[in-house]
Amino acid sequence: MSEVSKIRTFPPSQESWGGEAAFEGMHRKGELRGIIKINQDNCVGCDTCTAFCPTEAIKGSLGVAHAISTNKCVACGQCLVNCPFGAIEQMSFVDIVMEKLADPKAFVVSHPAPAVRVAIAEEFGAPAGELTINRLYNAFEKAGFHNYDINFAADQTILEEGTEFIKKVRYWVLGERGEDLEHVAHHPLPHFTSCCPAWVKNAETFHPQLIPHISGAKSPIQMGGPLAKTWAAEFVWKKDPRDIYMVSVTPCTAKIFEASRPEFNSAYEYLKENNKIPQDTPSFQDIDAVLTARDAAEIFRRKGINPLTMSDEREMETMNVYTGAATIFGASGGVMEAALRTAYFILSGTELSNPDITLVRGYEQDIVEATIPVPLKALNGKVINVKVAVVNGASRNIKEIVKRLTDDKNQYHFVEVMNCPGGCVNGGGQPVRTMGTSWLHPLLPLPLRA
Amino acid sequence: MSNERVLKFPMSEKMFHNINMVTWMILAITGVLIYFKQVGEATALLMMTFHIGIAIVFTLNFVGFVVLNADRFFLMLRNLLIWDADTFAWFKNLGGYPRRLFGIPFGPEEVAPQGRFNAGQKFTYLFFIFMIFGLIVTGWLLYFMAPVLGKTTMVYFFNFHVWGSIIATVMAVGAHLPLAVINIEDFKAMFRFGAGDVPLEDALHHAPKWVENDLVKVSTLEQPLKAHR
Amino acid sequence: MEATKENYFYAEKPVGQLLSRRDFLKAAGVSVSAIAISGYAITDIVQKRKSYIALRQQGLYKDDKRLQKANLTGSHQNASCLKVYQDMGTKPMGEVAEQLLHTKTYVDRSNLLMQGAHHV
Repeated sequence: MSEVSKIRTFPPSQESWGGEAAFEGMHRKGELRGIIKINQDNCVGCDTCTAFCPTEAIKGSLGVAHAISTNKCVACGQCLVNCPFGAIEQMSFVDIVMEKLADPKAFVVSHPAPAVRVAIAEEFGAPAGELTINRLYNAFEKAGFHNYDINFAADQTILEEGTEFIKKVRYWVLGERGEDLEHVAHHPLPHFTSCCPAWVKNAETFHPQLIPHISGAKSPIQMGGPLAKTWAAEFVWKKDPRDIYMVSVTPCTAKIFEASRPEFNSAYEYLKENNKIPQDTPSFQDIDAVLTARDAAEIFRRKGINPLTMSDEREMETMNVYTGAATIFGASGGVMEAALRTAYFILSGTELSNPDITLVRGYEQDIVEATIPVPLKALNGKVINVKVAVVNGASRNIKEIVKRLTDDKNQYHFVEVMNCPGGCVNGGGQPVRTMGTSWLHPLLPLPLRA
Repeated sequence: MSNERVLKFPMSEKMFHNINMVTWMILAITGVLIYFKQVGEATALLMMTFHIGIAIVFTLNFVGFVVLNADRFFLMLRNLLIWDADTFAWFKNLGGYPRRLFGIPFGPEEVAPQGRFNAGQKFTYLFFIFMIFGLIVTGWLLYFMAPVLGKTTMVYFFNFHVWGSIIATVMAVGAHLPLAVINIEDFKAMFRFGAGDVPLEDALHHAPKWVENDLVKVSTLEQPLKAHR
Repeated sequence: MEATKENYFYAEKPVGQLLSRRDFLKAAGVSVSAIAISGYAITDIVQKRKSYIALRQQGLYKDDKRLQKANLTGSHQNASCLKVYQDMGTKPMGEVAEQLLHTKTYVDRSNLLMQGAHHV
């Protein structure tokens, strides 16, 4: 009675990136679509997935095989992880990455997310929440990857987004004006996070009026990609950016979509502009391939690697330095907490006496509201009350937040939105648990328990 | 005496049984058509609507019987739960049916005396009652609470509902129904418009211990009684 | 209810005479235990179905605690991040940072006839 189910995958096809038209349905040319598919033979039409879909993208009546409407689907994978029959499948780039790993010219980089380190071990029999950090880095290295922890990029995200938020506070709350604040004049509060690609596609499709509120800062992965091919290529790895093959390892299937967004080739544009690569180089994306945690486990299995048996010892590398703020990104409320730790420090000049802002942690609640008093150094300690909200799971809650803001748009200054209940730890790319009999389990003889 | 008859199925039991039977068959047929993908999507939607609507009748029928006729229900359970030496002895020759129906000389010729239900009926009907209850519970939980149940529970309930109902239907149609037709007096008693009585000879043949222990003469009049519930 | 041609002389004794207290308790006991055991098992499984989410969250907060001990609590304490700004000659929301780390492209997909991405 394994605790983790096997999920079927399928490779991308030529049509997955769309045709020549600029738009096909809701997708732009080049954006990956059809990332999640329901197997028509295995689906019994039980309607469980329908309840978990945040955008009502699943069609089919009770008892009849269901299908996903590509236009409405945000590729979050909640249907997939909740299907009792494992009838939903994911587009996988495992074969493509395996090929790259075998290519001696390619400098393949694994970019693992915070939520992956507390779940990937489940694929190898560990209990839920088992933390594998150095063991994971060692496993990736043995598989042929170089490591660049997304958490490092997450810290970068906080610095960027925190700065952006503070500018908005200075302009919209404190009434300051200036050249450096011109940009935020077009972006009123509340400020919404942008790191969840399912949330972003949801907003673009169903709540476009929120677009000006969404942070312009990219997600940690989409910062890591450009930094790998510009900063790290030049200052750390000393490699030609064109040889770097960035593979993010995510708890999320929507990240597969995010990486394919045509505008996410910033490194290429920057390098061309600064004449660091020839002008006729064909464009390349910042992130070349996305593997879910399950996909990464599959690569380990194919190569006979078990992260749980790898050594826990490892020298700290520049590319893997991260703070506590970064690692909690994977839990609902984590981005908010991380942003507040830094924003508080910048605005008040002092660190929070207690960095654990449990007030904003999502846990099992749908929407968490909190007010964080921040003393402003620039105004001699005058306190502003920063009103925040954490949306823990998109299903009903995005509409609820929109309703509340329509009622009173000043209700919140900062809103974190995570599509998946509980945060990325419960993402569509994570190991799928069978949720077996909890009290029966300890009574079973050992062979049946594994 | 050809005039002597025994009330075997009171009206409440006939009502329960017959409504149960009709609704069960509609549920089974609609269910199988949908599950085995024998119909197109629009028809499947219609079938499912029937399935749910008839399921309401099926549920109320069972619940109504248990609640409004609790005495009959508990009496029936008591009869089904009498497992004595004669009950187990019945299995030695499966009540004599293989010999009688197919000429297979299985076990002794003598059948151990049975009560209200023979041993085969006891196990079958206990299974049927368990299935009726189980299908009602799993059915409504699947319909209303699928996402809440959790995946493993969902799969167990779903498979119980689909395969349990199929097994029970096969037993009902393949064993229960033919045997009922063979015992034609029981069949007539169950389905006629009127009292569910059988000849005393039949009762003595099939359920001598029931006649001996549970029955009482209700009339000493020459002319027959009017049927009453 | 009309009398049929065939009517009966025998019927079961009243239930009270057939069903003893012991029989009732036996029947009730069997039914109740069946319901209670399955009910408990199912309720237990259903209640614990989401426990894996909390366990994974706890793993992350454990990682956080470990890093807090090493004085790596807030992102502003990450020396590698500060090195990035130094080496690239930029600062948070500076020109290079804007180019590499920020996006202006969110697409109003609600309008299916959109011809292309637009500045927000």
